[in-house]
Amino acid sequence: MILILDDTEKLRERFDIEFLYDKEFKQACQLIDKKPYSRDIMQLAQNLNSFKIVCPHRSLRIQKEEENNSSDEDISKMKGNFIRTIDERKIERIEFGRDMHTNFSARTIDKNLFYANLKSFIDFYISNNVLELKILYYGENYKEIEMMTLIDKVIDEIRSTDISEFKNNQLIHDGLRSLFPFENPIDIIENWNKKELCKKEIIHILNENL
Amino acid sequence: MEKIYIISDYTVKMKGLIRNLNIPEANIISREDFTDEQKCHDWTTKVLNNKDIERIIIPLSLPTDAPVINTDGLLIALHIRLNYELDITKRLIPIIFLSNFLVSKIIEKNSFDADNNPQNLLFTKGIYFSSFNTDDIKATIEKAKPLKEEDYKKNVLNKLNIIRKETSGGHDIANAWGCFKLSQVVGVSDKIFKLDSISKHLKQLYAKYLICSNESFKTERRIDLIPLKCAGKKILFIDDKSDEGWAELMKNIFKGAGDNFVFVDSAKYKTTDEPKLFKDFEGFLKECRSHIGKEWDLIIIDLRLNPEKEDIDNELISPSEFSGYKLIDEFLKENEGYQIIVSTASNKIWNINTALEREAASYYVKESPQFNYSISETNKHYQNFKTDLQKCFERSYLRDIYKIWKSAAEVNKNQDNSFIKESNSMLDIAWNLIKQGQLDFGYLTLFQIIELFANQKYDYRDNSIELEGVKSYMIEINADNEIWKLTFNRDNRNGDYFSSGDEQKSKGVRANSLYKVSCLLKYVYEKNDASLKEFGELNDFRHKIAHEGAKGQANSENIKKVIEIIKIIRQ
Repeated sequence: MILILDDTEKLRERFDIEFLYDKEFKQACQLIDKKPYSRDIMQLAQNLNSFKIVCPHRSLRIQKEEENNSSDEDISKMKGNFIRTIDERKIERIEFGRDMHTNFSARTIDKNLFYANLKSFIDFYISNNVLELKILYYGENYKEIEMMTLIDKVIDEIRSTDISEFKNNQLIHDGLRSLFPFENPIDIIENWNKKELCKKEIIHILNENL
Repeated sequence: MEKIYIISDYTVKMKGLIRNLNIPEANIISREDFTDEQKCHDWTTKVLNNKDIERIIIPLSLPTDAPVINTDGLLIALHIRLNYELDITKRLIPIIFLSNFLVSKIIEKNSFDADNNPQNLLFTKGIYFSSFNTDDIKATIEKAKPLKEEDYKKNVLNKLNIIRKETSGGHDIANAWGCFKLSQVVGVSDKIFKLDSISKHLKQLYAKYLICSNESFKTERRIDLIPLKCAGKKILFIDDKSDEGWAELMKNIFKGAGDNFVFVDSAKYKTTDEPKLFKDFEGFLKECRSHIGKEWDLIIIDLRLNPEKEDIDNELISPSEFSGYKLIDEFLKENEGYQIIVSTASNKIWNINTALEREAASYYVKESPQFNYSISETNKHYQNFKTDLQKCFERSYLRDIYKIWKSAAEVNKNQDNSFIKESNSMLDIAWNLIKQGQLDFGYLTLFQIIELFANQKYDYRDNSIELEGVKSYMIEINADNEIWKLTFNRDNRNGDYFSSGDEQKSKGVRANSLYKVSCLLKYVYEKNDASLKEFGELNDFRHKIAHEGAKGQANSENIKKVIEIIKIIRQ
C-alpha cells in the first residue's frame, strides 16, 4: 500500500489525480488530502506496517483536535516523530513539494513530477506488486535510464581495469549482456582484443550502442 | 591547477580522479544536496563569491555513484551562469562537465525539465565536455577559456530556453519582480531582497534568466532624494501580496505617515505552507471592508486580490469581476470622494480603464518581468507614481465634502417637493463640478440652492416668512420708514452680515438674498449671530466668485459650510 499525505489547497483542481479516488487505486494507494488531526497521525503510525512507501508533502501540518490538551509544540513535534518512525521501520519515504529539487538518492521530488508520474508508478505497483521508484522519478521509460546507469558503471570499470582482465569482470559482462542481449560477452571482448581496440575506442562503442 | 576547482562528492572514483589531476585539497568544492532552486542559488553564490575560480569541473551526474544516473550537474552550472548576485566574470567562468557518455546520448536518453531545459546549456559558449579520463580532462582544461562579456547575451542567454513553470503562477513572479524593481528606486532593495517571500521567487531559474537578460539586478544603493510628503496622511493599502514584500515596501514609501499607514495583513488569511494560498479569502475581504467609511486620505487597492481565480494569465474574467474592482466600487459607493489608486501587475489597458471609469483616481502598474525596463525607466515610473500620490493627498478633502454632501442629499424632510427635486439635481451638479476640481462653480451651484429656497420661502411681496403657519413680517413698513428685523453690519474684510436687533431704514430699500437667508436662519432655524456672520462670509465669497470670476476662491471649508446650510433647509 502507498500512503500519500498532501494537505495543500485545491489539490484535485491543480493536479490530474482523479484516478486516486477510483476504487481500484484506493486499494493500492491511500491519499490523505486534508490536514490530518493528531489522532489520524497516531493511527497511521500504529498501522505503518501496512504501507510500503509513505510520501508526505514537504509542508504537511498536523492539526490539534479541540479536546486535545497537548501543546502546539508537541503537535508540531509529532510530524518529526512520525517521519522518524517511518525511517526506523525502514519504510520507503519520498518527500515532495513545489519546486523541490528532484533527487533520487535524497528521495526528494518536485511535486509536478511526482503527480505526473504517479499513475504509472501505481499502475506498475498494482500489476507487479513492486515499488519501482524510478518510474516516479524518470517516468515509464525509466529502463533507458537504468541501462545508462549500468553502462556508466561499466565504463568506470573499463577505465580502471586492465583490458586483459575484462573477460573475468562480472560487471563488464553484465553490462555487455544487457547492451548486446544476443551476443556472448566473451565473444565481444575477444573481438575487441583481436581488433586491438584501446579503452577510449571501447567506451565509444558502448556509447554508440546505447 | 592553482585556480581549477572541482565539485566532488568524495566517492572513490572522484578521490582517485582528483589525485590524478593534482587538484589541491583547497580547490575541492564539496557537493551538497539541494531541496530547491533557491538553495542551489544561495550555494553557488556562497561558493563562487568566496573563491577565486578560473575554471570549474562538474560531474554531470551527481552524486557520481548515484543509483540512477542524472543530469543534476547541469542545474548547478545553470545557477552559476544565471547568478546575478555574482560579478559577471564569475558567472562566465569556463565549466567543464565530466561524463562517461557522448553529449548526443545524454540528450537522447535523458528527460529534462521541460520549463528550464537545462540541456540547452550544453550548447552554449564556455561549456566544455570531457570523459573521466585524466588526460582528456587535462586537455580540456587547457583549451577551456573564459567567456567574454559580450558573449554572455549572444552565446549564452540567447541559447537558453527557460520558461515560467506553469504551477508557479505569473502573479507570484510578477509580484516579486515588481516589488523588487520598485524597491531599487525607493532605495530599499537590500531590505526587500532579503525577504524570503521575494527572493524565493527571484532565485528561481526563470526569474534569474529574466534578470540576467535584462541586466536589471544592481547592487548599487539608490537614495530617494525627494521622499513623499505624507505626514499626517492616513493611507490604507490593500494587496493580497502585502505579506510578500509589498507592505514592507509601501511602509518605506509612506515612511512620513508613520502609524497612519495601514495595511491589511494578507498573511493572516493564508496557509503557512507553500504555496501560500488564501485559506480564508472571505475573511480577508471582510477585514478590507471594515475600513470602508474611515477617513482615508489615500487608498491603494490591487485589482486582483484572489490570484487563484484571477491570475494574470486568466483573460476570461471581465475586469469588473475582479475582487479588487468590486472593493473599489464598495469604497466609492460609501464615499465618492475617496482617493483610490488601483494597482495591478497587468498592463492590460482595459483592466485599468474599467477601474478609472469607476472613478479610481489613478493607477500604478507593477513592473512585469516580461519587459526590459532600465532602472532609470523604473525611476521615472516611480516619480509619476509619487506625483499621483501627491495629487491624491491634495484632493483628499473631497472625502469630507462628499460625506457632508451625502448627508445633505439624504435629508429630504422639507415638505416642498419641488424644492427637494430641484435641489437634488443641483446637488448632483455641484458634486460633479467639485470632484472635477471646479470648486468655484460647485460653490456657486450650492449657493444657488440656498438662494432658491430663500426666494421661495421669503415672500418678497410683503416681506414675510411663514413661522408655524403664521405670517411673520421681516420688514415692517411705517409711514416714514421701515423697520427691518435684523441689523445690517458692514464688514469690508470678511463680508457684510446681519445680526439680531431691529434696524430702522428709509423706505424703498429692497431685501437682498443676504437678508432673506439671514432672516430664515434666524427666525425659522433659530441660528445665532455667529451663524449669521458666518453666512455673511459665505455670501461674500459667492459675490467674489460671481463678480471676479472663478479664481479658485472656494475651498473645502466654505463648501462644507454651504452644504451644512443646505442640509438644514432640506430638513
